[in-house]
Amino acid sequence: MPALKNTPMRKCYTVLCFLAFFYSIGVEIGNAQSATIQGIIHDGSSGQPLEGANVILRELESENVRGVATDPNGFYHISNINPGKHYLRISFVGYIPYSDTLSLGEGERSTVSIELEPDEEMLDELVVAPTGGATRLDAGRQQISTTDLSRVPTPAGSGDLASYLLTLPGVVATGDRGGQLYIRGGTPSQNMVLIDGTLIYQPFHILGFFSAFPEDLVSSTDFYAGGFGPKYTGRISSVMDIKMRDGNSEETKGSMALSPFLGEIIVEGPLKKGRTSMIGSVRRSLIEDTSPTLLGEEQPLKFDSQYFKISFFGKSNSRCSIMGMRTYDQGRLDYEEGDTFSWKNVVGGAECVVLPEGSDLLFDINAGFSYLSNEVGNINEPERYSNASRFNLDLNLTRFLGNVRLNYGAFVHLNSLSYALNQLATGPQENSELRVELGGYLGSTIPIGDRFQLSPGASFYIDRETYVTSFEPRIRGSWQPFGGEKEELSFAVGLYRQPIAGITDKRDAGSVFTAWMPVPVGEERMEAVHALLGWRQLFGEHVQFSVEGYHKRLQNLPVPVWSPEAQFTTDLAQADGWVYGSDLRLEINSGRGIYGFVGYGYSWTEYETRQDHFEQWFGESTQRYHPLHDRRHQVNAQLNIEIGEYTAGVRWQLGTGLPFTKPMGFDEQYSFEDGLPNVKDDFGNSRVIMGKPFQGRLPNYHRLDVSLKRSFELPVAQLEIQLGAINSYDQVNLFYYDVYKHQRFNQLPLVPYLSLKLETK
Amino acid sequence: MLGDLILLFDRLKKISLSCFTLLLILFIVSCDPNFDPLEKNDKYHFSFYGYLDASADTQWVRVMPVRDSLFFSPQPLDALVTIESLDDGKTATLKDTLFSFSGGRYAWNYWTTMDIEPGGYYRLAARNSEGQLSSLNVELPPDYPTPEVLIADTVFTNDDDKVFIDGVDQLVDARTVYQVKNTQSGGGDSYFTISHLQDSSTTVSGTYLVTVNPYIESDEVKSRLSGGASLVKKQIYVAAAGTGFDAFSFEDDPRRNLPEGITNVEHGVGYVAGIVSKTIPYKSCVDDSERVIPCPLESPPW
Repeated sequence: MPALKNTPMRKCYTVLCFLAFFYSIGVEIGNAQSATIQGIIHDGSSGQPLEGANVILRELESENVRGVATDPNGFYHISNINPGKHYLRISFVGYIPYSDTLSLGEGERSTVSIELEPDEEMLDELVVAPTGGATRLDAGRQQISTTDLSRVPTPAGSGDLASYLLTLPGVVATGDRGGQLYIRGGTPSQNMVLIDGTLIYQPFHILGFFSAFPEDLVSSTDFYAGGFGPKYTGRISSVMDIKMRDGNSEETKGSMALSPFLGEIIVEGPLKKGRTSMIGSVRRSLIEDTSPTLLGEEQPLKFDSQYFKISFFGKSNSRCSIMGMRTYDQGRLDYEEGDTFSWKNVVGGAECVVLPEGSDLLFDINAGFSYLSNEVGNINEPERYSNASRFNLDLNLTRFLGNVRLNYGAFVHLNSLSYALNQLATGPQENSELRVELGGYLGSTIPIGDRFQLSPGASFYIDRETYVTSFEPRIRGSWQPFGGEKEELSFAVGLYRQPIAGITDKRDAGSVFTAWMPVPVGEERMEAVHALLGWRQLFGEHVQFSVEGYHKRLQNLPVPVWSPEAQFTTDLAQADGWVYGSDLRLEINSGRGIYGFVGYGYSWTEYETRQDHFEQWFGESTQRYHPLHDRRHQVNAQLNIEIGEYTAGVRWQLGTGLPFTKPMGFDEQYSFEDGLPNVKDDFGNSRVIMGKPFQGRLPNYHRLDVSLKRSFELPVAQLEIQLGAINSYDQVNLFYYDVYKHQRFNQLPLVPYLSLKLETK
Repeated sequence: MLGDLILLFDRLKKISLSCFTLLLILFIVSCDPNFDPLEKNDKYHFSFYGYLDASADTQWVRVMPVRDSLFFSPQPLDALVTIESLDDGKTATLKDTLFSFSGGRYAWNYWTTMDIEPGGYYRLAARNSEGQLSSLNVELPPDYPTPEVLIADTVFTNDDDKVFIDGVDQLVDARTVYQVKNTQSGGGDSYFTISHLQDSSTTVSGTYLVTVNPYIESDEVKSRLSGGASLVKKQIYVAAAGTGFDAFSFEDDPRRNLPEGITNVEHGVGYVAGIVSKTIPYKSCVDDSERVIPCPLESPPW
């Protein structure tokens, strides 16, 4: 037998042994007499699976009670049930509970899939959910609900995922435009954003309040700021797994919203009542048209998006959907004469979740296509462009072995990448490549006693081009030391790799152009090791606190070669990095109309890079620096108060200054390569003599947004009016500083707005 | 509705004290420090570019301050620029001339008629009223023989024209010079040059060989001659520097743009070369026995 030392196969064996050990602890070995109950819980009005629904099974003879919560597919499974009569109760906040008495026979596997009907009276009373929200942090994972999105003052008819994410500690944006999110030291191209399981490259709009995910279209979002499980491969920073809402399968509805920032129309309804539904939306920004009147200055930023989803509901145990989305963004970040940036996403996907009758295996099959084109320069003749497209076929399976939940699957990802850059100094650079990845993953959730739960797993994939195999073990866990949910300690550790890099000239905050390219063949893929440890504490029923510390060790990050020339380059050098930080979150939710949240984020990010010319530039061959997104301190405070028909919202945010490169001076330079300079006839080439990169800090940033909402009942519709202001005290926040012109480019000033939203009943 | 509003403001009042305290703390920590976008520069005072040519009557050197802005108005330059011969201690002060360029740009060029000798050592220095000094030493190469030109017979061969340059350590310029007369717009004289430095090589004996493809050259010249312009004179210009010349370092390398990448200036940036140039007619000169010999030297049009 060949030696397995240090081979991926040996690592596989190690992890399999590791998993087997935990399974032996966690599995309550079933016996031939025990019964099983499983099923999928849906929303009866929309067909949407309900995650987090409580399923309680009480044995009538012994009064033993078992309980589980449904997963993101609405799936639940209870095994090792004694035969006999049982009382089943399925409930979810805002829905009419379902209850039934079951008689389970020896070895019987019963499937009970239910559609819970919304409780209209309860929904009317339900102002805010008593639990959940930003402090519900579990080793980097946070489930974001539409209620969370709606709380953040957003200058539109409804909340938006982008506005919400920016309230979270550890999420950094370089300004209120550009659509670039840096999460716990990671860069935007290291984030994975999935829409119903299909990747979307650049879904955050050029105006930073907005994304392709408004509150009215999103069902829920699993947001991992780090420590994500083995299901997600190919990115090293964060995951946003967004489930889009199904259209209403019972009745046709629609809404229109209008604000100075955007207009939106949503239509939904049944195509075949109770069986097939559709939802579609069209959004278009208006800020370019309204800003001369509203702000007295032009804001040359625009975006639009179109989206549809058709859902097919089978007989309770199956659900399929197809969706498509297109987004387009265009704008100049330097409003006077800068380059025009534009990008376009086109995404299409199909997903089926099936629990076959009599089977204990839940299938989740997803096929999708995602395309991004990204350009900068003259709008009709771009100087640089980059195209990226990806086809994915993913098979995800869920089954239970006793109490152990297994998640496993396989995938094929085809990535096609091309870019072309025209530079006056260096001439054109262009390339295109097709990369194929084949892989799979195995994950598990193992309860150990009543208080401890471990989720070990690993992912593995092979690049068909290079035959390099990646094996990435990961583990998550939680411990409830006092047996209840009031206190929980959670942790996550994992290895992550990324074979495709998005290269941005991070020296220039005014640039959002990203060239997607594979990490050069023969070089190591980007790699990160995440370690997270968090504590969550519930004080009484209304106050929650969480603290989470994190560390990321980053390796083989491709960074642009530092050049004294201020220009984009795809010449790459490698950097290693370290990220430390912690998030503190305090949340108050009275359940009677008062919601408050304060979050503080501390982050420390440092890169180390070795480049040939450093010896001459700095006298040392290695340089350490804090990259552009190293925001050291960040504070977010939010307050929502509901009184009668009114809802007031206030949000304040503060961020300390981001690094930037200070110039030392300017001169005119001549090249001797084509002959001696003629100083009388030739002016020379203007040069910025750059200081050591990233040694300066931009000023601190802070802003207060306010809003006041009220709904009016009309005969056939509901009208919601929102009055608000962005940057209420008109703070002058620097977006970036143009060293050539000695000119500040500021973020948005005070922007009052009035938004209207009309929704059919 | 009014009742709701009163209730709202009543509740807001109750929590306003704690919010105010919190916001006060946050406002204090969010006070902006002064923002200074420029890094303090006490390393580079002046920028020098150009060359000292032992064959020229007048020496021109660009001297500019390292500025804190890309754009500038043509204000007097606070600089005293001097040249000193390190061989005999002779010193001269350079005179300034303000040049204007397209796009409303200006630059100061300094000049002197001081004799510059082949093989000599010179020190250029610029000092401002605050005493900040930038300086550089320039070494000129020794003189060398006038190059020989071999014009190819283009009727019977496809050979290139050749220029042979002997006795040179480092060839730093080689170009053809075309003096033209514009007959349509007042008859003014002008010139243009075509660089052939990239077409140079050294032979085994150390002779520099510069080749000029007459066909390519002809096409280039046609494209440069605008309507009505006629060719008056065709010359070859070559320049040599000494062994210390290192401005070709980091060719196509970003390091060439570092302030300390290509420079011979102390406490400043830029490069001033020391050269000996030769300008000759673009033709073969032969002796009585039809052997190629150097042609008589001429002056360049600049």
